[in-house]
Amino acid sequence: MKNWNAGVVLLVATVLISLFTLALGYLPVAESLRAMQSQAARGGASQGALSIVGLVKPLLLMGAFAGMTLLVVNMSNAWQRRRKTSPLDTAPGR
Amino acid sequence: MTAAVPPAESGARKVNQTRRNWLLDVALLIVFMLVSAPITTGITLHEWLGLIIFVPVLYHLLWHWKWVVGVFTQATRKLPGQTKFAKWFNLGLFVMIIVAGVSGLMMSEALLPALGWQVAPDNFWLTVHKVSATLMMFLIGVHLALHWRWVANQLRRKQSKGAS
Repeated sequence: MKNWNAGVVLLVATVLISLFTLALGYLPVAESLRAMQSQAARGGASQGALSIVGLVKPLLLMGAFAGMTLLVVNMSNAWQRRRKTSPLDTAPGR
Repeated sequence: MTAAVPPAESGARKVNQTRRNWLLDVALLIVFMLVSAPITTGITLHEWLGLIIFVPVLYHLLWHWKWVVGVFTQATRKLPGQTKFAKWFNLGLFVMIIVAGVSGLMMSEALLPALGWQVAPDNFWLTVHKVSATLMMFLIGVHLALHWRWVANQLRRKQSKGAS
């Protein structure tokens, strides 16, 4: 597929997903959430140490999930290797 | 019909493509890290970076479009397990990026007002934005892990180049 066609497909997919997301705003749960007082503080950039702490959350979350996935993939590969070399699997007639 | 490419030329092209992909992915990761830390950057920069990040995301997708078309045009049962997982997983990541972007726009405090469009603070969109952004961190962590062999190879290559 040419890049131009790919761009059109991506654009259409983006528009459809955006419309779907906007439609979420009309759900009853959206209204009840709007009715609740927002407790979250957004605000501007923080100063000093807190400013750097902001980078820790994405780093920690991404690192933790990447590490866990690597662990699972490695364990699954090791398990598959062990199964392949198991004497039961290589026994004649199997 | 395509003209035959000499092996040396095709090898050089592959090296260039890998280098180009590496640079884009590093830039994408840095921008993503900054976008994910509004406390560090401040809301204004967070919103502008959130808009700008769509450019490298688009290029990332376009440069891997052959893979995308390949996995979505082949019958799912014919695909290897890991590719099958990557197909649906990456689709989920794409959806999550757009959900985070749209929900962020719906409660924009700096970007839209700068363009003359005022939006009121909205607890619903704030919740959707926070949940989708946290899910994105999880999905990008997994995405990185799934391509870790390639990342590690690139890092090793850069290190050996630096040493020599």
